[in-house]
Amino acid sequence: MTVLTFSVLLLFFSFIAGFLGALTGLGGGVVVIPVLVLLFHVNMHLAMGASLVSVLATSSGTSIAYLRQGYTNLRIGMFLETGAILGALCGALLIPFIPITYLMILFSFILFLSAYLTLARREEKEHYQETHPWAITLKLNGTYPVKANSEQQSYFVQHVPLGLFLMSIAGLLSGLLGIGSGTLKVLAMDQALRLPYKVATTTSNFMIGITAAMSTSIYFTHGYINAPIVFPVILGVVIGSYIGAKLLMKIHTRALRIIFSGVISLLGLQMLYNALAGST
Amino acid sequence: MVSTKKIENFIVLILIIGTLISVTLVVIGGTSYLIQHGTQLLQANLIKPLNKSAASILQDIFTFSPLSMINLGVLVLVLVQILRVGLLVWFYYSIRDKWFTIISAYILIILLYGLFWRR
Repeated sequence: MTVLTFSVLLLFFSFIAGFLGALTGLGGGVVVIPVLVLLFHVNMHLAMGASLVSVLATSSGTSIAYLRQGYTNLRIGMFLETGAILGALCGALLIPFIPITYLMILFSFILFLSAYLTLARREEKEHYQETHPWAITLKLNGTYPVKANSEQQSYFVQHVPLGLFLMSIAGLLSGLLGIGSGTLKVLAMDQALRLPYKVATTTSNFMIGITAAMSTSIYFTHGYINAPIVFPVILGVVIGSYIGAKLLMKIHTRALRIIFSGVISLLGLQMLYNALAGST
Repeated sequence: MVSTKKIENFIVLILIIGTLISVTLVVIGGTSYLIQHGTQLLQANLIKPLNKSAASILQDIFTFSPLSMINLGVLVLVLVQILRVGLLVWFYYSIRDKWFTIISAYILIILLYGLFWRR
């Protein structure tokens, strides 16, 4: 295969990565890593580096749309980021010392559980009138648009300490695996904070860029950011995430949950396969 | 006093400018790289580690090589994230929000530590 063919194919897959990443809050790593490792047989660490860059690009592209549309909750994003970024720093520094294979097996099961929990929640049947005391002190409650005519609906944040704990684990795994940050972030906001799903995915998209910036700079020093790989990734992801973000407003929450669960189940299977095949 | 909506609009502006600069650099670098190496076989190009600090990448920019342009594009994306956190530190400080000034400053410090930390 020539470099040109590789670049064009990777551009196409990165477009899909950006599109799905924008809708699910997962970043682009979910598609980028398996494509690079399984299809193109790229070294796992270089694939993780490319994945982090795809997350940076998705986060930048989608945050433009989601901040404008009023979905992203900046205060929740920044508050939870305190745990995530510390976890990411520890994770990236621990890379040389942790056996990634066992971690991947563990994480694949977390992904299957996440897929189940995401589908099991029926937010339309929940009506919270009270909130966690921390949410009042930190002014975390907010509103989000429910229809295209900018009608706003309020939401009340629950279980803040649990959300912060899950977010720290998300950051740690993100630093170690170069992936997984978005999955656990969406899960923490959906399952612990009980946020509306679109607020969870869009706020995750805002946060993952900050966490990924941290990990990317460290991956740079390890030599895992490879320019010939990352250039089609950036271009494809930016275009895909822009189009995905435009679609979010119109798409039904239930459909989003199904897409998210499908994507992370595939990610879990791929991660389990990689770990068992010893491709790390 | 700066409103939340205004700061959100300002962050959006920074994201638009940063993403456009990054994409432009990557398009120029990527196209030049493909013109030079597009017909070569893949393997040799994918296993070459970079192993460079942010400072040395910046120095390399002046060589205007295709790969250094792509690296600068990545670096711009990283800097955009730092800028948006820095902007939030200033915003929360300006509205006298003690908790969120601490929270955003703490995130900024760890981000900068990650950027400049070397083994």
